[in-house]
Parts: sequence; C-alpha cells; structure tokens
Amino acid sequence: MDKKILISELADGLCRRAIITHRDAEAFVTTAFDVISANLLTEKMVKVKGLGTFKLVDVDARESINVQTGERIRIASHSKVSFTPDASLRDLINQPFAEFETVVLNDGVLEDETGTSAPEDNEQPAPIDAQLPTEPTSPALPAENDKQTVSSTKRPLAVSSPQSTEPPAVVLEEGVDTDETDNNGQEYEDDFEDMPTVEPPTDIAPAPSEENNNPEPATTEMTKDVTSDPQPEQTKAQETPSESKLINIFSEEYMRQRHHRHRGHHSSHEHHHSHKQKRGWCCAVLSCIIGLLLLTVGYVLGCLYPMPLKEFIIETNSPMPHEINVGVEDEPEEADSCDSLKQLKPQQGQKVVADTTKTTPAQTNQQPKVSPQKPTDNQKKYPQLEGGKYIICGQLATDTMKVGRTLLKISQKHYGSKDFVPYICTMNGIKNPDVVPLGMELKIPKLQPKAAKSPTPTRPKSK
Amino acid sequence: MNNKEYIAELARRMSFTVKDTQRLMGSLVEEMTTQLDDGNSIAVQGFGTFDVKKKLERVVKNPTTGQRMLVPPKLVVNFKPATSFKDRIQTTEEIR
Repeated sequence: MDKKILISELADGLCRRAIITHRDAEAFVTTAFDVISANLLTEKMVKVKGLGTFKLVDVDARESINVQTGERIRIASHSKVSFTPDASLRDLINQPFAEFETVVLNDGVLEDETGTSAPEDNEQPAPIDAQLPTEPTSPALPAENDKQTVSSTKRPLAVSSPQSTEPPAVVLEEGVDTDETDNNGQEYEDDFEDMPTVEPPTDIAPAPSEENNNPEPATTEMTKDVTSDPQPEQTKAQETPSESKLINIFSEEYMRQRHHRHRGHHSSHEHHHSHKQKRGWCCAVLSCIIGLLLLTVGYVLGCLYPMPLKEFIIETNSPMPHEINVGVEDEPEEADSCDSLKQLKPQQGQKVVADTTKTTPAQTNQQPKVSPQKPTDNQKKYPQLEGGKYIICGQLATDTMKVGRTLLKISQKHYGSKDFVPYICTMNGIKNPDVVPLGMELKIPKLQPKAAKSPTPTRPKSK
Repeated sequence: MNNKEYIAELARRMSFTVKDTQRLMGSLVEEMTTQLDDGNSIAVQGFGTFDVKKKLERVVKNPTTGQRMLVPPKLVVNFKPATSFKDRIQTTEEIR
C-alpha cells in the first residue's frame, strides 16, 4: 500500500507470472514503455489492451499569472499526454466504491464543498436566463413560477439558493399526492379541500412551513380517524360531562319515580323527601302523577336524542349507587321501557341493519332483567376493554361491515357517538379498527358505565 | 496505433514472437493492475507515474434540465508523465 513500484519490481512480477529471466523481464518492461512513448510522439495515440489509451492532446495558448511574482504570463500552446484507463482496469480499481451510483438530488440540504460552488454559480445564470422569458407565459403553473421567481430574486445570493428552489416544487407535488391519497380513504374531506388552494407560495418561507403542515394535518387526521384507539379516555373525558349531565337528569327523574313509589326510600333528593313528610298521602299521590308526567316528558325528550344513547343511558341507571336497594319491581318497568325502546330501534335504524337485528330485541328483552342484578357475571362473560369506563354486559345488536361503512359510523349509529369503537373492537376481537373484513358481522356490545364516576364503588346486586 | 500494431512493434524490438510478446504484455498489465489495486504507485523512469487517486463525491447540475445529481466518490487511475518525457514532446513539437 502506497509503495512506489519501480521497473525492477514489475520485472519481478513478470518473472513470477511467465517463464522469463529477470534480465529479459526488465528489458521487456523498459522496451514496452519506450515503444509507447516513441509511438505517441509520432502517432498521437497508442492503445494498450488491458491498460488503457495514451493520447497526445494539443492545448491552446492561454494567459495566466505567475504564482510567485504575480505577473501576467502567457502560456504557449503545447501538447500534453493524456491517459484513459481501460474499462476493466477502471472497474477493478473502483471496486470499493462499485456499489454507489449517481443519484438525483431533491432536497437542498447539502452543504456544497468549495470545489463545487464555482461550477454551480456558473451554471446558475444560464438556466435562469432561459427560464425568465417563460415566466409571464406560464402563470398557471405555481410550482414552476415559484422556482423561477425565487431563483431570479436570489441570483446574487449564495449557492444554497438553487438548492432551496427545488424543495418547494417537489414538496408541493408530494403534498398534493399525499392529500389525494388521504382523501380517498377518510371522511374528513372538508379539511383537505383547503390544502390545494393554500399551497402556491410566493416565498420560500411558507414552503418549509407547508412541509410541516403537510405531515401535520395528515397525522392529526390519522389520529382523528383512529379516534378512540389512542385516545379513548381523552375523548371520553370530554364526552362524560355531557353524558353525566344527561345521566343525572334522567337519573333524577327516575329517582323521583322510585322515590315516590317506595315510601321511605332513602334518596339524596331531600326536597321531595321533605315535601312528602309534610303533606302526607295527598302529596304523595300528586307527586306520583307529576312523576308520571315527568316520565312521559323525559321519554319524549329521550326520543329526540339519538336512540341508542338514550337506551344505553337507561341501562346505565341500574348500577348507580342510589339504586342499589331497588327491589325486583323496578326491573319489569325498566325492562318494559327498554323493550319499547329497543323495539323502536330497529325501526329507526332500518338503513343498514341486518336481518339478525330483529331477533336481538327478543334476546335483549331478557337481558335487562339479568344485567342489573349481576353485572359482574356479565363482565366475566364478555371480553372487556381495559381502561375503559364502560363494562360490556351484553349484546345490543349486530351489524355487518359493508362497503363504505366504517366502525365509526356503526358506533355513531348504535351509541350516538364515535367513541365506542374500541368496545365494538373488543367485542368482536378486532385488533385493528382500520382493517375489518367486508361482510363481517359485528356484535354491538351493550355497555354499562363503571361506577367510577360515583363515589361508592360498584357492588354486586343481590337478588 | 492500436494494440495489434503496438504488440507487433514491441515484438520486433524485443526479437520475440508476437504470440510471446502478447502473453508477456498481458502478464505485465496484470502485474501493474495488481499493484495499482493494492494502492501502490508505479513509477517508470523516463516515462511517468501511474497512481490511484480518490475523487470525492460532488454535486453536479444538468445545465439543460437543471436537475441536480450527486456523483458518488470513486477511485481512478491517474497517469503523470515524467518531465523528461514532456520535454521530449515539446522539442518534437517545436521541430514541427
């Protein structure tokens, strides 16, 4: 490595390879190069197989500067010897770097070495001059215009500018492509309609920000699509205040009902309690009537809300701590109301409901009686979502995956909210909500909230 | 002067057969290639020096399309003629 090989060493090598005396070998090597040089002078070109081609190249006279004195000097025209290695030799020598190929550069991230800056500067005015006349004629192409305007404005600046003109053009194309692909698969088309109109920038500054924006909306969109999978609790946290309000409203109403029916029933509604104590029987009857009225009003209001949510909330009333001491008599009423609601549900959800859903009200009729009593048993029966605030205690309905249907739509339909997709997934053993086979029958679980909201923990209902 | 003529001239000078000189020349080239492959330089007195140089990667721009490409680094064989050789050339040029 890095040795200087002389003729003698070449001769040694020759002796090893061929049957020849050392003296002859040396003579041979010397003569070989002599012949080359001699013929090069006369013939201007000598080709040696396996080695390469020697050429005599004429060089024109040029003016230059004496490096020592700094004077201007004229270099006369002369000939110089050029050597071009043979392909085999070239490839063999370049073996360590054989894997690399020239690649097209898109990003302007490279820091140019000093050697390359000069040729770039020389080349830059030429393409810009060629492009400038075309500028007014092509206003419709924002990408090209940006390239030109930016490059022309930045011509006097450093080398990095031609590199930076490239990214907007390319990034824009990439951005448009990703937007299109995103639109196909997702529901949030409205978000991306704005993107193409916003894109054409006049400065480089917005372009990198667009680069940032392109991935960002995509990611936020993806997170939206995945919805509850990564963020069930957050969205649920947002939902729960409203839900809890609804629950509280209805629970209050039901509380009043039960409260008036069962005298002496201890409840938090001391207002009614005090009334009852003071006025006696008449008041009790009156309040019963009022309670019934409120029940019907609440029922009507509940009908206005998305049905599945209402039914789902009624179900959830049962494990509330206030109602732990509820007797058996309540359950038929609950069951009746639930039944009626459930019977309404198939009628309302006729669009995409499969035939099997009609059988489910019959099935679910039995379940309301069972579920308030033994939530823990049902808990064990069905797979539960870890970290979820609801217990899967039964099957609400079945649904099928059709073209264009998503778990989000199904969840919205059955629960009135898109946040319950993970429960559907857990019920059906779906690991990836984005990949659900077409025609797959989905069991829509019935959900009870875990009593984590209430101060007392859930107790198994006896009887 | 192509390879055939060169071999013929060399054979004449050495008083070898063409076939032998062809084989010998091949061996010589092989030897040189091996040496260069090892990274050594070959210095031929009165003729010149063969060495291996590394060319760094660089960014090139197609002047017509404006497309920027990255040329990878590579190893190349370089020949530097000896000064005596260059002078000889100059004198012959002047004679002409």
